[in-house]
Amino acid sequence: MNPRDVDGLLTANTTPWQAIEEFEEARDGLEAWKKSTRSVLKTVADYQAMTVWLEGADAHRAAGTKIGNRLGPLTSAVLKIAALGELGMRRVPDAELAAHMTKLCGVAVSTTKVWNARRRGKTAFEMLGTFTKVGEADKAFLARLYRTYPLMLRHVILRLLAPGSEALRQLDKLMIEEDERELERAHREWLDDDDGWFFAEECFITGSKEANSASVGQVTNPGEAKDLDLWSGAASFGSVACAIMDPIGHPTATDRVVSDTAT
Amino acid sequence: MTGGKTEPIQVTRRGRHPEADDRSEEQAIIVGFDAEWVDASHEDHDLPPDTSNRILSWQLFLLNPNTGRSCGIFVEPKSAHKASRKLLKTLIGQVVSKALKGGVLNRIPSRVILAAHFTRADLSTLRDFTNIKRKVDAVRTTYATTTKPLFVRIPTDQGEAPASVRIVDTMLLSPSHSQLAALGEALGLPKIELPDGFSKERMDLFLAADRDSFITYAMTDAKIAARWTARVLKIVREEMGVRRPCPTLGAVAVEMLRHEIEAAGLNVSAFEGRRRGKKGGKPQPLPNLVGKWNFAAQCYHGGRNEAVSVGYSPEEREIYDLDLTSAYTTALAMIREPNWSTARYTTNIAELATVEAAMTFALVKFRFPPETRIPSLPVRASNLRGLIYPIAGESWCTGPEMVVALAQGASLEAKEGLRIDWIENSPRVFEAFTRKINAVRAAAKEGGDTVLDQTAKEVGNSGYGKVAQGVAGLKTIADDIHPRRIFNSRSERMQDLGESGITQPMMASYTTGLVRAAVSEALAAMGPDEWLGTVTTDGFLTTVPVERVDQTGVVARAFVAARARITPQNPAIWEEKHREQSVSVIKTRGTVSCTPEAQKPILAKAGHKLEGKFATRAEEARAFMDLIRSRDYDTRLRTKGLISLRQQHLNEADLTTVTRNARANLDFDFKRKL
Repeated sequence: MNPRDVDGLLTANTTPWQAIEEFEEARDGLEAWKKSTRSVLKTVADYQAMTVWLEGADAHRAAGTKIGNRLGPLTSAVLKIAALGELGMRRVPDAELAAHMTKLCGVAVSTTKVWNARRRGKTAFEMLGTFTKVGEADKAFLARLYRTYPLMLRHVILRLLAPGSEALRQLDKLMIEEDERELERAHREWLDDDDGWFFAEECFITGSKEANSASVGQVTNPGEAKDLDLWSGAASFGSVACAIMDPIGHPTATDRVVSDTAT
Repeated sequence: MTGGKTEPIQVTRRGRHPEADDRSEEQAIIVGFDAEWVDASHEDHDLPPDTSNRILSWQLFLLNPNTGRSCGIFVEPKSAHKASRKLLKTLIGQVVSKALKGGVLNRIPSRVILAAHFTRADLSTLRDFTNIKRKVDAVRTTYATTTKPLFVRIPTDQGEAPASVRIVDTMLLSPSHSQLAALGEALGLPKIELPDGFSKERMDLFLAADRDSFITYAMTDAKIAARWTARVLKIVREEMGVRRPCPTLGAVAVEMLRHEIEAAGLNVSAFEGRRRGKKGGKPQPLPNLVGKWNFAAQCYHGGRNEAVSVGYSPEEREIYDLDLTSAYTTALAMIREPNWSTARYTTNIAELATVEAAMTFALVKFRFPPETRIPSLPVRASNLRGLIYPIAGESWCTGPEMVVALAQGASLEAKEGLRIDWIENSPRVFEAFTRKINAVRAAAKEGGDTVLDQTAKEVGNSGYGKVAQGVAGLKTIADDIHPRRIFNSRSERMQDLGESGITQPMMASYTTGLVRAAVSEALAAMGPDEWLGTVTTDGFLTTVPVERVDQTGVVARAFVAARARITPQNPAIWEEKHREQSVSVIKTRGTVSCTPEAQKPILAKAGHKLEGKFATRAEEARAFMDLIRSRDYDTRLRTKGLISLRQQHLNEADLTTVTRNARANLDFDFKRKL
């Protein structure tokens, strides 16, 4: 539609909507963006800002969190799942979780925030398969998560993303970029000097039957239950899990979903 | 101002009901009424702000249309106190007394038409406004008597007699937003300009400085009101064939249409698919139309309105603002007498997709080819967001719209459908109505009377408005169009706007569908290189000149044929309203001319009103463009308006000004995808 600025004003052609629902969503989005950011749609920059904001807003809606939240919606979702010890994650003390999340997010996560995350927003079950886009606020968190706990990416994050969505493609891209960065620093022991990063992965995920039975109760198909078994096997690698992951030829997020479905 | 000296008058005391004279050949006496005051909410420092206006004078101008003689009075209150205000009957009595003395009248009239320009303002200056307000009807933010007239005993110095007083507002008998000055110009009776240094807000200063000029100024307003009313009523009676005194142009249209239906040898109720019950009362829909009435109402939508582009028009290309000539009256003119007994449900697209063979309505599931630039089937959005034209969906639409959609290659599946055939070779009664309106307009144009031309045009458009009045309230499935709510001044409650005397949902839906179809058909035929700015009900803004607008489509050909029947000398269906070098499209109904030195610049402000006054339209367009550029989320437009009728009525308040701060909502509305 070639949106461009002419004499400082947004100028573009338009196409028809495919269906009335698309229009309603776009118009609701415009109103929400205007109200929330106290902005007007005057230039291409405004239009782009609105688009980015709406992507984030969708994710916040999926997480049941507020748009003004400093944590990204996916990050909030992970914090909630970890705080409740759901989807096979072992529940750890709030202070410990807050400390780990602070490092992963780059934003101070207090024990109050952990406590609030536990009681606010949607349940983990409601969030499964609902995230359609990954916002900017979540990308840094996901990159760190991928570097440190790739299994969590697979067993928690992937299950939150909507099948066939833009979010899966974004995650693929993010993983590829991270792999390329990893290659560049192939021989650097970039995690050595950070004692906090090497906490055991099993402190987040556990293969115990009790924990899995809790999460299996939320799984809606046998494939997912099997997936949990595989994951619990992977979890037994403990802290070396990330070290033995070979970044080259790493399956993409979409591949994983396809293979998981096939399994 | 005076009617001249005559011999002594025989005053007839009347004992019978004043309305008994309604059928007499003698015309009602017209009294022009006006008041001057100092607004309580003025911002000068000299007077403290107050809730009551200070009345300076009342002026009444009595015109006897039977003889053409006239006289006037100028009355001042004894003090600024509310108790010093006059009663309506006192003022009428005073002017009648003067008329009796001057020979303008030979007896106390039994029927009086009290005419004012914006009656709400003038009636509220009276002491008995509290009593009068519940005996008049609230019509479009002002007062008039549309049902029962006022009954007063007129006290004169020669006795007292009962009279019916019909209140008419010249605003309701002239094109919308007409100023009194424009009516004066059209009458050759120009409104007096205020001398330099005086303002409407402080008329007291003018009165104190130059009493004679003040009286001349004030009396002219009353004269214009009386003379305009007399003129319109005369035209309505003599050229439009309506004998009843009508308080609004809409009422004139209803009477004209009823007259045309009867002139064609038809019964009004039968023509509309109604019949009166055995016990009389309001005619009800025919038994076989039960349910079908509401089905047709479901397909009733407004016009097609959307911004197809946003921002500036392409450089170095001329932009044309084109309109479908007399869109609604032409569409109405295609209606024949319906054969109500043929009304039947069908889902056969071949039966439903027709333009002129029958009135058809349907709920269709549709899909246009993916590359379609301008789809043509409407889907109603929520929250008053109007009609959207998507590629696929479900639409409550009319036959002509289905014809256009099929021509665009759309696949249609009728889920429900309704068809009503015409009686073969039956008369097109609305065509005669349109032709009559056109005749008045042509004569007005020839005489250079643009106000009368616009007045006649408004009567024509009111014809369609009256056919469609209250149709939204007949919808079974509530959608975005809600029944219009109005304030009933007699019961002092809000209520739905009811049906008019000629409301017909099938004809209303068919008419609007025809206009949307004609516009959509022309848009669909546009080349991909042509720029399209906005679509506004019966016209659009484009780079296509009027002579290149496609007229080969089925709907266009039906319009050409109708125009040829109405105005054989000029059957063109598209006309150019404006031509521009550059425009900027903001949103639906928001377009601004960016042509330097444009004589007649396009300026559609998307419902906004700019603060301040502008010498020219071009200046206003520039100011609006500046606003568009400089606005942010907190930009508000401060406008001065009048207290609402309901507020004034319920609080028995004077007509005071109120300031409103409205947020400038000038963002693209996404009726189409960016």
